Amino acid sequence: MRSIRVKPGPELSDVSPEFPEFRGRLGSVLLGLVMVVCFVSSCRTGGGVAGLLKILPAEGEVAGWRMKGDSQVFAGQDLFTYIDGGADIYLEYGFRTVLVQDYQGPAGKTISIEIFEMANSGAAFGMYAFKKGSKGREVGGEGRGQMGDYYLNIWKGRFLITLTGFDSDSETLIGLEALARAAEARTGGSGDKPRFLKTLSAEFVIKPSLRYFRGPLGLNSVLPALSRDVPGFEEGVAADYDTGMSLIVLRYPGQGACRTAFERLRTALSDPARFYEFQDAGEDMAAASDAKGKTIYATPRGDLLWIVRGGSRAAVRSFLSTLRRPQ
Amino acid sequence: MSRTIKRREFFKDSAKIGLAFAAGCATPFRLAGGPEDPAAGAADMIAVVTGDDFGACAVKAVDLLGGMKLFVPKGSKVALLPNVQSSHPGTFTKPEILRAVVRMCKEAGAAEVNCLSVQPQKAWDDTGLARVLQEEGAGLKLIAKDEANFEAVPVPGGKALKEARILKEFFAHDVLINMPITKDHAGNRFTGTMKNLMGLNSPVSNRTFHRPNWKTDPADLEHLDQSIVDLNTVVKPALNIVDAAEFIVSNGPFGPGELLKPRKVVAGTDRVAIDAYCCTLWGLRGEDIVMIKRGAEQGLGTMDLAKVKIVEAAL
Repeated sequence: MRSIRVKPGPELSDVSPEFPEFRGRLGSVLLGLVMVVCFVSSCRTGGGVAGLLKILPAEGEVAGWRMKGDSQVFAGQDLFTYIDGGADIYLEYGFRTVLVQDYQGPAGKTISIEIFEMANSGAAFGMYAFKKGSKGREVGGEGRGQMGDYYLNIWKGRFLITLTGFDSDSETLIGLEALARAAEARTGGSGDKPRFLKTLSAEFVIKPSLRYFRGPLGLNSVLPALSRDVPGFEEGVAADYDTGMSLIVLRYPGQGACRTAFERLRTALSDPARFYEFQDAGEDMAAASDAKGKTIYATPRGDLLWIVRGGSRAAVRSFLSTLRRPQ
Repeated sequence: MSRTIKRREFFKDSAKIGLAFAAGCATPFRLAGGPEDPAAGAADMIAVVTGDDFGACAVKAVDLLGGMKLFVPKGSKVALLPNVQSSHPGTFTKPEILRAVVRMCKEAGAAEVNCLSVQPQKAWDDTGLARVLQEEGAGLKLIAKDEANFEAVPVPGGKALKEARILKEFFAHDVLINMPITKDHAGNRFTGTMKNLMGLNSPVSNRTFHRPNWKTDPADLEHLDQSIVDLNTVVKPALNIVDAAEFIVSNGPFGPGELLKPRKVVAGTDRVAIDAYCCTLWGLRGEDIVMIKRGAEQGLGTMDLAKVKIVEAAL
């Protein structure tokens, strides 16, 4: 009989470290509440712990692969218990719950399945694009899955499913695909990609580089040199183009916030300790070269801050004129 | 041995630690730097060994620094801090490196070798590190995350962290060997020797490294980097042995992510220099990593690799 362990979560000790007895009771009460909320939520929307369990391939569903050990569930801030030091990026996108289950396969191979329930399909897509990386083979359809050397990520609805093997042997890779297909078939809904992706000119995008983010950690993966100089955006998108240019678009709560971010970015670009060959075109555009010799251009347009890396100024202006604001 | 006992007593009095560091006193976890320090000759040097036998690479790297006896006094209790954050490939310190280090410590005359951790037994089992410790006769001290198991340590001059909360068990040891795996990190872009020391600090204290407005205020985001640097000013490993053999360069620190396989083990006492070197393995520069830059600014080590003696070997 398989059992599930729901981790009570260190955040309980964080909030009231000076009241250990109260903390224990509070932990029990909150854990119970989490379970109730998860159950109610699952009945209504197909999510929560029950919803996540339904996605797990059942015993014998994939030939040669059996469940190994208990399932583990981590909800909300308790993700830090599971991903100590790496939970922030999930929380930045909007994390709800994760279910973890190992499977044992042929020749003693092991595959771990993590089913992340995110806040919505946009959050799940963003986290998927972040995790899948730029290399790998597409699996499934509609750009919903990608296989790396020893792991596979699938995005469907508000769920992100990550399957990890522990080597690149054929038994492992076959198992990854088979378990992924089984899990995907059990996952309801499809979900739309964030509308903000339409900012990008799709015909030029080099697809594997596409990123969607909701905070500085996501931006950090595509524009590390400036990720701390443009705070306060609500969402962003980035992609590499076959022209050799990379585009990052950040959306701010309003035009004023965008202008403030642009001014801050301009100040950063003008810092000779960090960038070279600063060019100031007034309110319209600022530019400078980074340590790798690539020019970074920034220009505000309403509540959107457009940043292009690479290319000449003329090429960038021409490129920007082909882009549009999402309707 | 009486010197060792004095050190332990000294460390148990956490209130004195800040004064000790302010005065520049030598401690068992601060072997590098002092004029009487036997490992002082290795202070400006890092050893980099490339090969397919990662255990042998670790042995060679320590030999290039002068041998383990330089760092592990005879009869001492040694604490090891490998990374067991995840069992995904390229995210944890490799068992063969841990095995080599345990053996070197014992050959140097260590009375006891233990790994200290707040991670669960499952993490140690899944990574294969528990088995190595069992086979080599080393200890695994798994400590509950209860705050009662941590001791307050003032951080004199700490810019973000005023007080660390270090595992009490740590103070029962004479020598710390820091054994991270270098890899990508979503928050800091990079993790190596300095960040690994968060493994000795309490989870509650570690959580304070993340400030509430980090999504909108860059100062709050850099609070994490600064807190790590501050922590490193009060916990100074005798030696750092870094797994740079095979590690993730995306989706860190937990993975799974794209693997890079430089097949290297890096060792030394200068954490800033080691981290600055390791980040170049995947195209980063030390000055681009806030944690490394701040570490250099606060005198923890040298970020300018041109000033570091990098001794390389291949097996």
